[in-house]
Amino acid sequence: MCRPILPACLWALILTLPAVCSAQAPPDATGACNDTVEVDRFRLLRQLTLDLWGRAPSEGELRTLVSGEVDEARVDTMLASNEFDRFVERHHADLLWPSVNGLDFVPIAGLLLPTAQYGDGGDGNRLFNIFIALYQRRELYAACKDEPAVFDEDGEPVFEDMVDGTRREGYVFVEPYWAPGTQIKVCAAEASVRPTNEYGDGCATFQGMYSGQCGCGPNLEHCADLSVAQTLLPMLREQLMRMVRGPIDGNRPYTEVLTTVEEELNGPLAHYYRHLAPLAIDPIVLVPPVAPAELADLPYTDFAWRTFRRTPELHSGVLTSLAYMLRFQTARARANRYYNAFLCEPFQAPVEGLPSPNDECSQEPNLSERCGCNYCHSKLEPAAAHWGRFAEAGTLYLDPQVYPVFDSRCAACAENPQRECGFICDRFYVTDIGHPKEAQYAGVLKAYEWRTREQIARMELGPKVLVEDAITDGRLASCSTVQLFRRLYKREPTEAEVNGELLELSRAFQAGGFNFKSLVKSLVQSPGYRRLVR
Amino acid sequence: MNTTHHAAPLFLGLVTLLSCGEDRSGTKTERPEAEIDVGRQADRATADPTPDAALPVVVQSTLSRAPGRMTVDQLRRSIEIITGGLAWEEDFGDGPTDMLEVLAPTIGAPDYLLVTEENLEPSLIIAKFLHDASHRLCVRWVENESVAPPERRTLVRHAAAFESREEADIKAGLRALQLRFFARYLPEDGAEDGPISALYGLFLNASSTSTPGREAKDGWLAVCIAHMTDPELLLY
Repeated sequence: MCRPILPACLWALILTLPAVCSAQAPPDATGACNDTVEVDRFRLLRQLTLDLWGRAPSEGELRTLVSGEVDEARVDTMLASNEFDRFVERHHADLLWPSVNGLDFVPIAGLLLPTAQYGDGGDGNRLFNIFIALYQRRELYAACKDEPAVFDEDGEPVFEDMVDGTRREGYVFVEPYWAPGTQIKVCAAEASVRPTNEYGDGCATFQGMYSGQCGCGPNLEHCADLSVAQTLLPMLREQLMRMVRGPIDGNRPYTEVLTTVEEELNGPLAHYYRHLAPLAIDPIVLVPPVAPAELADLPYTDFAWRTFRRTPELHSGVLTSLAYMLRFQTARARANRYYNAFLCEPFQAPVEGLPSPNDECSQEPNLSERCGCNYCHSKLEPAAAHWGRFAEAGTLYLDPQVYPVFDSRCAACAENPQRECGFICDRFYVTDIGHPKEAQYAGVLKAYEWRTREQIARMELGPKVLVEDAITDGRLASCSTVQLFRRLYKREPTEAEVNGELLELSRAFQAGGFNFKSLVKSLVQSPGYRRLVR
Repeated sequence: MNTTHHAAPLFLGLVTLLSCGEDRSGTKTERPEAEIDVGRQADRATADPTPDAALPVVVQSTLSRAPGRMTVDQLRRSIEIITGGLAWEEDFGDGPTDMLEVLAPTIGAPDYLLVTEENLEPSLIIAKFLHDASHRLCVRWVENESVAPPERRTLVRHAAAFESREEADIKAGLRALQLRFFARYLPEDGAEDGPISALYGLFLNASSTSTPGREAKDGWLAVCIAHMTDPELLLY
């Protein structure tokens, strides 16, 4: 009765069958069904094609097996194909979770919104910016009038006082950098090319744009409409994936994924680095990892990717990429994901639970020592310190020349609650003393709080040293093998497997120069890959 | 948490079921267990770290693989391969919409912000949506096939006219579909036709109760839906 023409029967049985073993597959001593069947060459090709290429094989591909086998050459072909990129990308997407919220990336100070979304009447395609609207038109979502702008003798747009209390100017047509050769309707204040605001702040800086007195500059260069945001986000993901695919496609050591100082950029990202990153302060990007001067001749419309060297040298592969640091916005989150994905060492609370928060030991401010918390944090805190020179809630490299370990201004404000600390102190330095033990850290860069001398030395070298440790002691090879086993074998490995066959494979992976494709090949060519558990 | 743990009992049932057609094709390859020489492999890989350089895996392997469910992305791409380019699309007035993309969050695909691991349980939700997909796709597929020349057909894979209801033609088409959908090879001599005998009955039933002129269309429509909603499509 269990025939393919009765799918409802199958589905019902699949969904309701208890975990019992068949007569052919009796339970073993642990109660698990341990019968296996070796799939034939056609099923093996289906399995391989779905796993490595992310799709079922075509009928033509399957018919080549009528008089053939799934031999080593075929596996090599599959690994060499562009379609294998799907496997690489999906595997690493599951490890790195490359998904960034648009507003965590495109600075709101330079965001141009269409009036259509804010019910302002008239042509909904007029673009406006909320900071300019607030400071020049007196209302956050007040766009300009839907009529051509009028300018005074100084070339400034003329605003008209409106009955709703706002003041509004007209629009102008501008050729935007993202669509050369076209003209779009932009409110005249937003289209301003003035170089500074009345305080002397440059209009290409966040101070200028947040003042609401600046426009977007020539061709709207330091602003972005929603189409630019929609272009940039996938580019950010693609940049991360290129960092992953590069060493794998090039048969270079897989470790480069986690250690390279280089990254690739195309026109849209280069434009972001040059003109939009300097406006991004929440999250804080501000200074991109590639100097804007190196990107001068890369127009937004050039979608070809080029390789650049990041500065400073402590950049460490995907772990300090924009996509990673904007997805994982705290040093702890960055270390946590790295430990989960690449070391297979998740941080888990002790099974006996945590002590009461009323317990005296729970008052300890240093999480590495606080009872219960220290179960994870004694390891997590030193690991997180490797990202200490990169801003949390952002990607900015905290250059010691600009952000010294100790700042006396910040210390002064920490010691005097009446004193205004300012953005830099509040954001990066210890200014809030919540426990007597913290007093010693007043005015110290937050990442240095509670750190030992040895941890500080490692912090200055970045996450790369964390990776180098794992390369040396074999944890990276071992975890990479286990992660690939999970993906290809669709189950957790047993402890015996981890310490047996998978350990041998990981040692070969390491000894062979961390060739990712070779490891995949070894796993799919193992007889075990063909052996299906029933 | 790894979802495959939860899915294990469900898959167990499936695999037991998958094995209940004894005539399952495929030569069960009696391959001797390979031997792995990790040391040799490492030496070669060091010298030339390309996939070609990797030696065959050598262990007296005791590893085994569990059945897995296709991801939403694998399913979308596989449907296109199997149907020769069709996708499950609906038009709600704004042009064709890829339904698997729309339904991806419902079916459990990760967005890596709120959902970080794909739910790969063979759930009723995925069964329900495949059922919906089959009814939309198969109608289009059959209509396309009915006017396509035999060499261009992807559903009705016999060489005769589309309208043919000859047993030999229908069974030839069914064998091809078993390969196309499930990678189950059935020799053309019919020696292992067990898995398609019920499907042939289904074709006859659907075509014989059809309105005049639609016999072949309704027969193949029933066959298409049966294949598309078979759990074997999703599991591998």
